[in-house]
Amino acid sequence: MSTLFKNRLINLVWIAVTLAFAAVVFFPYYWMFASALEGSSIYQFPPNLWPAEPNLDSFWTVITGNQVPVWMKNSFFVASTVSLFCAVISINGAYALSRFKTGATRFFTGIILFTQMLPAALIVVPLFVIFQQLGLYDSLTGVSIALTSFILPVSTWLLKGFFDQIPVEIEQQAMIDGCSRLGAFYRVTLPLALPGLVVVIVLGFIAGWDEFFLARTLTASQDNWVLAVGLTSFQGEYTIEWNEMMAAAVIFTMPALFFFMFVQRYLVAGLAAGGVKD
Amino acid sequence: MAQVKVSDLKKAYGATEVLHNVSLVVEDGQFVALVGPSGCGKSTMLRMIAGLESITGGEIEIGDDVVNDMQPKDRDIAMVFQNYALYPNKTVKNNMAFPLRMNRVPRDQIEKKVAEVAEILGLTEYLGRYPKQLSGGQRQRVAMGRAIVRDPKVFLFDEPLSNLDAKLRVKMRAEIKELHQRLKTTTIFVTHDQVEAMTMADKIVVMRDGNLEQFGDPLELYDSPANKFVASFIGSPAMNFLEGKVEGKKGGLTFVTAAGLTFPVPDKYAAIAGQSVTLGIRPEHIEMEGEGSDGAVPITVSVVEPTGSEAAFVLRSGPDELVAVKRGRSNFAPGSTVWIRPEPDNMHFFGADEQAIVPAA
Ligand SMILES: Nc1ncnc2c1ncn2[C@@H]1O[C@H](COP(=O)(O)OP(=O)(O)O)[C@@H](O)[C@H]1O
Ligand SMILES: [Mg+2]
Repeated sequence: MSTLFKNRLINLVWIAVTLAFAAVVFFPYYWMFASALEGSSIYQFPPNLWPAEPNLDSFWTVITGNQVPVWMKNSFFVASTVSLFCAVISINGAYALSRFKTGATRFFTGIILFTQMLPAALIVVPLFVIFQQLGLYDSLTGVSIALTSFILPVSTWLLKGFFDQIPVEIEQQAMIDGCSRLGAFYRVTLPLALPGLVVVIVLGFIAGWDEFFLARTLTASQDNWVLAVGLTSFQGEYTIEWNEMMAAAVIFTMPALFFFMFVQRYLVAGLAAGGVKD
Repeated sequence: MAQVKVSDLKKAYGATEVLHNVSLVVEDGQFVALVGPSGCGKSTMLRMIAGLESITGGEIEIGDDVVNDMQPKDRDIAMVFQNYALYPNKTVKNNMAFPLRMNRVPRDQIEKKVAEVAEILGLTEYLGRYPKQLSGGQRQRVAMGRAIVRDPKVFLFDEPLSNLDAKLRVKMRAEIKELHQRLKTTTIFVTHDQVEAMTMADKIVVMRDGNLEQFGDPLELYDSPANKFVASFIGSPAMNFLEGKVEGKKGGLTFVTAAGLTFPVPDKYAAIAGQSVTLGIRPEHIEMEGEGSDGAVPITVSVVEPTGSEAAFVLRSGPDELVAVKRGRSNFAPGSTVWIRPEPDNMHFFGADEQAIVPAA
């Protein structure tokens, strides 16, 4: 075999493996979408790979129902507040951890990571009790606060990494050039850490949008459910409205999809920033 | 413009003191070089003057103000960092305009000033570029430009040339010196390169381990170093040092090493007769001859290092080693014997405490 042929063969195999992998990842999404379009013909066996009578009825039912829109609004509230809290707090926290190297900040840098070792299930019961006493039980604000405490350590670490890569001299130059310390941070350092900030915002939003466990535990009334919790209610005691559930699921995945598409550029730049030396 | 006065300046990181009671006055319009080996505290001192490091003890005055508790932005200084610290997301023009904008200079004046400085530094055609689209030398100029647009009281430079290649460094050296002669702004220039310090500065501060070793004119440091450290640090190739003893008495004083190498010593050093001392003699202050004559000492040539305009000779006599430099061409081959004579007026003696021994007038 010539090397050229061999290389080509390797390429082909490689492409085939990648395609197979993509298919495995993609199929559930396709299945979800197909089922949502299927309508009432979904209860056939064997199932259709392609919907027999594709229609948007289930989407219509879900959207015009009086529950899914409320849950969506709730999810959106939780997602955006978690995203906002995490961004605002981690900007300041990460900056402090990156720039003020004292014993105390070193200690906190370490201990922040430690919180990541505790599984949510372990602290959800105490959290439940505390939130009840604080009057935050069964409120979306409560869910946002609880979730923020889980996501914040990650976003702080992430952003600290970005700040660490910005030479401190650039900021000091800004201070000499006429900025206060805070001014130098907001005018010079933060804009340079923008890719990191975008990553943190997206991370917070998606984590908030996806959240199930804390939302399920800390809310009770249906009006306070988020979409992820609401989705499970399609699974009734005797029947499962597969097509409607799948339609709601499609709607559920949309924001994450759009968000990723929108910020992909930043994400790639952000994730690559660690390995590139300018 | 202003003078900078540093009094009893101290800096400690935790329990370690890295700057010990340094005092000096940089006069208005002077170009002072801060020189010393890496880690001796040059950057620390400069950064304290800039207001980027807290002051552990002592006082810094810029102009008539004690600036100890003043923020960097209020000190009216400009600084160029070793890595230039350009704003990567701003164009050359906006990099240079930034300090003016921060100080609320009217827009049309900013335009004018930036254009003027860009012209001086030859940056006009690069104004629209970003720092990453520039060569190292151009970035260095932008950093200089950003410093000079402001017309500050003091320039602070922290090894601004050390990231340039040797040729460009020599060119920028001359340019900065020329710029200073034109602007006459008080300048403190940190470098670890004594040649840079000697060629550029009006006055030089030599530092070692957080101490000020000597502060003076370049030639003063060269001609009368206060101690062995300054003597060895200033000048290239470095000064030769020989351990030995001064013997004899007035009219016949000699310096003798343990191995017996002997040089005549001028009478003004009669006071140290009988003492163990270190003789310091610069390579360019050793006369070499091919034949013996009165007072000359024979020694073996062991290595010859020609550079074209001059040649350095490593000379050996037993365990004693000396480097001598001779201008022009000479045909002393390795292994041959030459006769040397240290210039009597350029001999330096250092006591056991490494301080220079001052001869009688
Ligand atoms: N942030 C710091 N913490 C502890 N020690 C420091 C710090 N910055 C500098 N030093 C110490 O202070 C000394 C002087 O450093 P520096 O001023 O940077 O030297 P130079 O610029 O002359 O090379 C060095 O011994 C260095 O290790
Ligand atoms: Mg330094």
